[in-house]
Amino acid sequence: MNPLHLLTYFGLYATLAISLNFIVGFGRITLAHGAIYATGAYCYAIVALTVSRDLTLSVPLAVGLGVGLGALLSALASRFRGDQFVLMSLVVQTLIYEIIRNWERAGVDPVAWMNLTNGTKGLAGVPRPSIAGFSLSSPCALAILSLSFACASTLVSWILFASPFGRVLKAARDDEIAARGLGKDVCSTRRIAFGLSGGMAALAGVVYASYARYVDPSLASLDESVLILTIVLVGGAGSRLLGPLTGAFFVLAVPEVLRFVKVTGATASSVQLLLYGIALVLITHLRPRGLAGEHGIR
Amino acid sequence: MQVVITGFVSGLEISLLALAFGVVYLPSRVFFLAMGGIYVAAPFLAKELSDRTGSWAFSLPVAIVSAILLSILADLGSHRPLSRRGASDGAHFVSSLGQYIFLMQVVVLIWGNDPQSFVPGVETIKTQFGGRVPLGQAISAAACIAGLAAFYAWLLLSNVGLRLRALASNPMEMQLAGQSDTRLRTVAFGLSGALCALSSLAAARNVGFDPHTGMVATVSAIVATFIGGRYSYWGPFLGGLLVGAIRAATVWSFGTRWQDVAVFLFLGCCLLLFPNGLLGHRQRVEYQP
Repeated sequence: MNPLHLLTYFGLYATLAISLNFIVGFGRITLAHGAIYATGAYCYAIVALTVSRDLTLSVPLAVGLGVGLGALLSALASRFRGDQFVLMSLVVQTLIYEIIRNWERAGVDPVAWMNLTNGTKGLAGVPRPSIAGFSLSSPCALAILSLSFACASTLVSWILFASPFGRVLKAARDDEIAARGLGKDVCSTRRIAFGLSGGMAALAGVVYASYARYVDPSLASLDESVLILTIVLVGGAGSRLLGPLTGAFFVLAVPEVLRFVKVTGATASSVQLLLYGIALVLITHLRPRGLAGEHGIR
Repeated sequence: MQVVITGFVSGLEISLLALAFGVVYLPSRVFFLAMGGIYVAAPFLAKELSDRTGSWAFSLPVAIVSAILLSILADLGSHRPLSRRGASDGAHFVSSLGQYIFLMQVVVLIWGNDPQSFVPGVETIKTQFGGRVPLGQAISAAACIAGLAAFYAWLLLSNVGLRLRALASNPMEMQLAGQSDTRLRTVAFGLSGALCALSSLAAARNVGFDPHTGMVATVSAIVATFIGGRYSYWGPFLGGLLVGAIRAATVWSFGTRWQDVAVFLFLGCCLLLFPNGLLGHRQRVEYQP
C-alpha cells in the first residue's frame, strides 16, 4: 500500500465525484462523464508531448474543452429528460470514445495531426507536469497537485451549493416548473452547473494523465462513466461535500480491503466490480440517498 | 449481397434483444440493463452444460429457462419492491445497472474472460441468395425469425398478450379495471429473459461470445428500441433491423471502426426529429408517459 498513490487517486476520484454531483445531484443521470474526463487527460497529454508540460497552458485548455462539452450536455438536458437524456449522453460518450479510438494513421508519429490520439495504442511517455518552471515530478508533488485540485473543486462546490445558485438548482430538481414560475432562470443555472462539472472532470483528467503518464481510449469508455456514477451514487448524490468524498473513499477502500484478505490479481478486479454492483443494488433499496447523501436518486 | 445478408442477420439478433428490452420497458418503464448480464450468462451456461452432458437438446432449453428465472428474480428481488415504494425511474436504472455488473462479474469469476465459441474450428459455408452464408449465421437467422414470429403471434393472438398490450398502453386504466399488473409484470420479465437468451444464443452461435459483450449488445438493443419507437411493440423490431442495416452499410463504406458512430449519430438525429421514435406518434408534452 503506497499512501501517496492512494492520496493521488483519492484527490482524483473526489474531483470527479464532486464534478458529477453537479449533474446527478440535481436530477439528471449522465453517462458522458468518462468521456469528458478522458478529453482532459488527452488534452494534457497532447499539449505536454508537443508544446509544453507547463500546467498553466494545458489546464486552461483542458478546462475550456470540458466546459464546452458540459455546455453541450446542458443544451441536450434542456431538451431531453429522463431516459432520453441518458441516451443522448450516451451518444456524446460514444462519439468522443470513437473519435479518440479512431484518430490514428499507421506510419505517422503519435500526436501528429493525422495520428493525434494514436488510436487504441494510446499515448505513452507523457511528461510529468510543471508549474511556472517548477517541476512536479515526485509522487509527493503529484499527490499535492491532485489534492489541491480536489480541494479547489470542494471549495467551489461548497460555496455554490450554499449560494442562491445552489438553491435554484435544488428548486429545479424538486419542481422545475415551480422554479420557473417563480422567475428563476433554470436553464442558465443548469448550463453553468454542467459547464462547471465538465471543467472539473477535465481537471481530473489532467491529474490522471500527469500521474499515470499514459492515456488510452479506455478512459473514455462506458465502464469509466459507470464507475464515476457509482462513486457519486454510493457516496450520495446532491450532498454538498460528504457524499462525493465518501464515494471516493469507498472506491479506494474496496481494493485495499481485498488485498488485506489476500484476493489479488484478475480475481481482485472482478470481485471489486462485483462489490460495486452489489453496492448499487443495495443503495437503491436500503439507502437511496447514498452513504452520506442528502437527496434520493431521481 | 453479402453485406445485406450480414446486416439482416445482425438486425434480427438486435431486434430480438430490443424486443426483450421493450417487453419490460413498455409495461413497467424499467430500464432493464440487467438484461446484459443475462445475455452474457446464457451462452456460458449452455456451453458448460453441453460440455458436461454432451447434449445441446438439453443444455439450450436449460439455459433459456435459467435466463427466464434470472429475469423474474431481477423483478421480484429488486424492481418490484422499488415500484411498490414508488421509486423513481433513476432508482430502477441504477439498481438494474448494479445487477448487470454483478451478473457479468459472476460470469467472469466462474468462466473467465476469454472469448469462446459453440463450434470449434472452421464453419461450414454455403452459397445462398448470391452471398456466402456460414452455417452459424443461417442457424442464428432461423432462431431469431422463429423467436420473433412466436412472440408476435403470442402477443397478437393470446389473451395474456392482449392484456400485456393493454398494460403497456395504459397501466392506470388496467389497475382501475381490477387487473393484476404484478402477474403481468412477471410474465413480461420472464418473456424478456427468454427473448434475451434466444438472441444471445443465436449471436453466440453466429460470432462467438465473451463476458464483455453484454453491455454493448444491451446498448444496441436500447438504441434500436428508441429509434424504432419505445411505446410500440413493433418499434424494437423495426429499430433492430435499421441498426443492423446501418452497421452493415457503414462497414461496407467506411470499415468496422465507424459503425457505432453511424448508429449513434442516427439515434441522435432520431431523438431530435422523432422523440418518440420512428413508429411513435407525436403528442403534446403533458400527455407523454
